Amino acid sequence: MSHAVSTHAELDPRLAPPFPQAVLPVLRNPQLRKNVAHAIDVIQTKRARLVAEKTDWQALRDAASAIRTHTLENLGAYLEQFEERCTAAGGVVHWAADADEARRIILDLLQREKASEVIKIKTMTSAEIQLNPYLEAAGISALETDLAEIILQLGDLEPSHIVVPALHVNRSQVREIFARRMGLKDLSDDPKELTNAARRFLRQKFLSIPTAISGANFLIAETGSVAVVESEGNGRMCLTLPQTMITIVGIEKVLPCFQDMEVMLQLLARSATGERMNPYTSLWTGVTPGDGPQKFHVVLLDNGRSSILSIPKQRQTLKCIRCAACMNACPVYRQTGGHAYGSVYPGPIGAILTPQLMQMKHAQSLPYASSLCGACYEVCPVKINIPEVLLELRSQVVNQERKQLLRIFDPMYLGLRIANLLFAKAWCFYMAQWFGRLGLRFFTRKDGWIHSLPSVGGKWTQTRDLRGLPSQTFHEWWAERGSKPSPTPSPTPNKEAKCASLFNPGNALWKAFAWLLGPQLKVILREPQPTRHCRAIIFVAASSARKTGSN
Amino acid sequence: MVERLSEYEAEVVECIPAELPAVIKTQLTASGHHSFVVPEGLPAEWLAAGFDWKIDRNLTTAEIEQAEGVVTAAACAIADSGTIVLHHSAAEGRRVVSLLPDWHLIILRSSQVVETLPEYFARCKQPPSLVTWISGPSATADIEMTRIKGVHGPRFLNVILVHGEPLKESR
Repeated sequence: MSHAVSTHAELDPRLAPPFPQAVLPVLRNPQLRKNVAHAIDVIQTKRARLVAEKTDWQALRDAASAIRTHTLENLGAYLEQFEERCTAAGGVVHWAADADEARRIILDLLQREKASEVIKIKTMTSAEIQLNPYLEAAGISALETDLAEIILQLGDLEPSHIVVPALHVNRSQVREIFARRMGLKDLSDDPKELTNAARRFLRQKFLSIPTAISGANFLIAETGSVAVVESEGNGRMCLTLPQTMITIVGIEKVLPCFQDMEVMLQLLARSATGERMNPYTSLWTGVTPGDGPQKFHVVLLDNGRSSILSIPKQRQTLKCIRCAACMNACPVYRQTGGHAYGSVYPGPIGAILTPQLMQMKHAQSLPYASSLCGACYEVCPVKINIPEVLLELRSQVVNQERKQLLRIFDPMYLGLRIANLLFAKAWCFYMAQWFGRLGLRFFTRKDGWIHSLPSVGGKWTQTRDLRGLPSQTFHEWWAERGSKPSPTPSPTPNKEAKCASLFNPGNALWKAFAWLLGPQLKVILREPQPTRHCRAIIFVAASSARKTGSN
Repeated sequence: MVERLSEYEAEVVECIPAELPAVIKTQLTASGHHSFVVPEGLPAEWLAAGFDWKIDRNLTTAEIEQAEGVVTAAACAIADSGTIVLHHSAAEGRRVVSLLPDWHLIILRSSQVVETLPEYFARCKQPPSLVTWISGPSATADIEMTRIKGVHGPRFLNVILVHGEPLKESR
């Protein structure tokens, strides 16, 4: 049986469309949204129950965060220690600076083994370097063995979650894929029967294919061991039956010592799948004579990680243990699913990891794919402050864009620059308020609401109404009130109060001005292409209203 | 421990040391299977008569695959999460032995049971070269989050908990 070559273009950050564009097909697909919401609800309910029964949960998070931070600060030393201990135990350690080098190392190892087929345990790292299409092109078929991954591989679909990658596919879709690709005509859509079909299909592969590729959840520097956390037993099969095992792992996955697993194992399964412990966790050290693969290779992958490490504010991204709790908690992910993130790493962690792995050249819309509500930070077992990193990345996007010359013609940028000037001086501000009020009056309906605005303002009114500006500002009201006799009248109005009274709509001078200019302004603003000046004024009003609205 | 294992749909029986061989025999009979594979280091008195026993002295994968069940000891168990830990010593067998057969019977001494994961790590300062943590039978929830018992590993996990034996080193 040949396995479809997945192009992964949809999940290649260099080719994927920006997030706001990529979400559109998902938002129009109610079945997909229903599948995603259902899966997330199930995990979230289980997780909440198990986290609540753990009285030392916050202390565990602190411990995990401290372990990961310490490791990252001493990453070089721990990696070298791992290399030394793993080599002593019979393993071979390879270092790959980027995806291309990792792929070449793996292909070379497979070719030396004369492998035409290879079985795989689900690994995010191999998806990150797009290993499968590379191997297929070289004539080696890579067979995924995780149930969700095989559904996706046989169905030629893309993963949308890092723990349950096929959560967007429902049982009847799985039935259709298995029936077509495994040649099983009479298959029902009962999950048990579907699972058994996969069991039978894969058992022969496990027993006959002598080479396997795995990822790793943890590397232990102290002992040179590797740990894989799984549920189905496909991992144990791949780690036990083949003669040759190649493990590809990101350099950040190392833990200083075996005892650190104590903390991680208590957090990982509860966060990932809402279980006290996942069904199977395997730990192995190099090669054990008579048990399991007798040739063992580890490929340590950098691929942008050391550049993330070099930026202290963003370093915490690498603390991630890939539990996916952040995407399960994210209100944006719940609506959009994983594909819109245009990367194998979706959700909040993907929104910070993908742009950084790509050195901010690609995926610039991802730091904005968040409402900054902080739910991801709250559930993160290793306490990655995702909103903080998102804001840092947003500022980098803005700084990069600011350097582009064409940027000054962008209405948003122009509007903000003008706002900057107007808000710097009191008289400018009052004048802008006056013009804004005058301008907006033509868009305000009788009910006191603005239902549609032209240009950039339209982006706001597309989805929500804007309250019309009141006829009097607070300052004006205050100044008017001050002019009335009061117990402690202010002796001399200060400069700002003078400005305010000058622009008071009650002022005779301005009444005359408005009477003269009003009709002309009305005509200008009603034109389909308003002049740049008027657009800016409208934008100022809209953006100040937006600020009030979002606070 | 018993409660947590039962939550995973693992079957648990408790007994005292004197009853063990009889209880093992009852379990084997109840499984409906006939051919069993065992690690080399398992006590000979546990191998009840009347069954087809294959002792793993470098059996081939195909031979192990043919066995319907497997009986092993364990290194430790963690009550809080219902986890059984194998260090793959002589009585626990090679990894492949406890993986391919569909039915797995684990014989656990009550002295090997600790309450929490940190207690296990306190007992086991240095890991042996191979460790497998098993928490219930193989399972998946990949299709619509419906938990299905038994994907690739043993689909049936049975545990005999033996009370009142002295503490032995886990390895």
